[in-house]
Amino acid sequence: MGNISRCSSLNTYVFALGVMCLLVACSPESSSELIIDQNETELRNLLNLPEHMPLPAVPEFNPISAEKIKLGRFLFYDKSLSANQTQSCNSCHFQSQAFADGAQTPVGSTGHALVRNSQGLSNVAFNATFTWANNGFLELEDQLNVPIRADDPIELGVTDSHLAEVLTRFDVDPNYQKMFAEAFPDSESGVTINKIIFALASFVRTLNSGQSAYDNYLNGDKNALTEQQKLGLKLFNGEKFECFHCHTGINFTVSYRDRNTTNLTYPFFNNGLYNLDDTGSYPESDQGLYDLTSKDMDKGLFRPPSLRNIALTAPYMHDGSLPTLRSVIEHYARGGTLTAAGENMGDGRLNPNKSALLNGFDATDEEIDALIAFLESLTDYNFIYNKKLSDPFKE
Amino acid sequence: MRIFIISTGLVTSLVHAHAPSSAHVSTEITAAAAFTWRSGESLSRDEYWLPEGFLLGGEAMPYEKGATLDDFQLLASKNLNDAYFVRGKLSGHNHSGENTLEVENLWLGKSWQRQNQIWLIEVGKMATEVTETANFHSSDDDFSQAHLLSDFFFGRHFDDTGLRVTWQQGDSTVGIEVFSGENYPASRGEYSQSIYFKKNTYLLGAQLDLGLFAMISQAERRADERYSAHNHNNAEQQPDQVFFTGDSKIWGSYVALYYQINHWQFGLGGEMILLDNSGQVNQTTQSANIDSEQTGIRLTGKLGYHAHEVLFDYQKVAIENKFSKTSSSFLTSANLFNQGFEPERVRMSWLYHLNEHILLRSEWSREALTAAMAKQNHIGFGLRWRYTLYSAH
Repeated sequence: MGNISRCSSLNTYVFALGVMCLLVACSPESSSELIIDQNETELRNLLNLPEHMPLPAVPEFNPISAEKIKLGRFLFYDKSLSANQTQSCNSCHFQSQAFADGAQTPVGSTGHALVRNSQGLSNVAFNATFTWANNGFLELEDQLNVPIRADDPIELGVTDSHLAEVLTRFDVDPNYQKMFAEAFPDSESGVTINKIIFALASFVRTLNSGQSAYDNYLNGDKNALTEQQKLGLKLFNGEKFECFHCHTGINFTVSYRDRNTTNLTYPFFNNGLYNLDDTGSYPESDQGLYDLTSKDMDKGLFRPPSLRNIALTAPYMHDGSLPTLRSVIEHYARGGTLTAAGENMGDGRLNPNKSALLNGFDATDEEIDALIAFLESLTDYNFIYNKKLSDPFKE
Repeated sequence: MRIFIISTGLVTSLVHAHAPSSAHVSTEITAAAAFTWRSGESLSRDEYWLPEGFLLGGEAMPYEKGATLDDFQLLASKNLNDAYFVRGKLSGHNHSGENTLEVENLWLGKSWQRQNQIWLIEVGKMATEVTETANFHSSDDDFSQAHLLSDFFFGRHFDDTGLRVTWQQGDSTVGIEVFSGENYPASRGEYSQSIYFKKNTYLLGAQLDLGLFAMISQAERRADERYSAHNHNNAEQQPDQVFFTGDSKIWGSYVALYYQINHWQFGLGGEMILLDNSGQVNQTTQSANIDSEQTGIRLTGKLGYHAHEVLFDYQKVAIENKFSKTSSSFLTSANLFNQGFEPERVRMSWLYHLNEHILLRSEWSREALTAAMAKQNHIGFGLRWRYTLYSAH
């Protein structure tokens, strides 16, 4: 009996061993799959987005179409959109400069001087908010009213008194009649300011940059960046320079939204550029978010812009006061800027509203050169030479 | 396709008494500790353990080179006139020269017996009872190093505040647990619930333990706390956190066979665990919808003679991820792309029971913990000590 019992136990173990081997032989394997539906592919083609880039949020009230994009492109470059027909959007947003203009601050169509630097328009479709310091402009369609219709300062100058005149220009043009009809097939009305804004927003949403040397590196080409640029990337994401705290992700800014973003935030930061009379104030002409909220803690708060194509969009900061990338890095290395004399005198490093992330750091010339080299790798020549984004009147 | 296999292998560390954990609690204080010297480490202190495609958490840290105090436990239980009991555990470990000590468990319980059934209710901060794999401690286990299944599915230890109700009749036990979500894979306040069945019986002369369990956890922006709460790493740069929001469903089964004849002991054990994650992962800016199936297997064999034991152990974990509403760049930056890498470990150990308190261990292991790592061999020597400081009996 004992032998039978031992034999049965042995059989049990042999069986168990056999199942073990089977289990190991049939053990699962790892895999990853990215599911893309046909709608995503079509949207990606319309928006000039390479595959590694996410899709931006597009408001339901203004769905994208090829016809709207085409209309928006013409409007973007057409000086007929300004009241006195001297300026277009392109007047302050040049494709060769990643849709910035190279000026410290621009001048409007009637000669009004603006106080803020023209932002580059690379990937603006991914902004969480729009303009330099407005926490209420959450869609491009909100922001576009400002350069077109504002009267202080005047940019394109399509104020109430000039609105009808400007709309009529497009209403009587056969080419624009056709483009508006194709872009808004369900509308019986003619040209309206809303249609102009919706079309412009659709075109601006296609201004997407994602084929820089850095993007190629991200996609697996380890030779796409030089050793110096790789060092700069490491410094950018490191705990000394800490650039990544405000300029991170695929669009190099925390002010970011794509169509899948659920935890939306609207970050604004004071980076210690000014500190008038040590009160935390910025120049009265532009105190950032404070100008909207009137809260002292919002003095000097501005939206962190994307760093894509940053080498093309000098000068820098909201007022264009820093001329080069080196001057920007040196500003952050100091922990702010000391203005020793003049109307803006004050030590920005001691600004009470300055972000706690900005503590300054020691940087060698070699490290600064490496960081600049990395930032230059964000330049996308396919973007600035893309004919789909260029002036259609010159074709 | 769901795989649900009851393996017929064994897990040696499961060959313990599997009565409801606290049905008959005596008053006693026990101390246990484990020390190990290791010839090498899987990852240097400049690196983070981020196996491609997996979302780890809890205390699943790689082991270090050199001598360490793996684990220390002081366990106490008090039977209060058989009306109820209190149990607690103080535990500590050494990591990168830092010592930590914490109250790992503290809970109360009461049991009732009705005819041949035992009912038990426990409440407090306690370990889950779904499987021993969820509660790895070097001073409790035959091996000094945590099992991959412990790390990948439970964050090495599952300790949480909650309630457990257990029913036992004969050799069968059923338990239901509800926890507050303090432990991976849940997140605080989001809760986890589990149910388990255990059977401890004899089959053809061999002791047989088997178990089945299921656990559901919810998480809201669950971070990888290994590298956010406290960081033992020397790397210059923290990885960008990947947060998970969603549900995690775990199913598992284990079987252990143990046979002793004269001075010979034979053991075979196996365990298989499946984890379904469904939800969203996001970093500071970008996100992705995720639907993943993670599978882990562990197979162990033991041969013993007198005070000597030789063990063999094999573990492997695999992940099948499906992502949507995202881009390839995000998946790459978040380290979520896995195209065929399975963390794997095989090890052998010789144990010698010096006396009833001290176990000496000699171990060899070969493992690959990330896709970038070549398989590495390590050896380790150590001891496990256990002593009852006080007992009311």
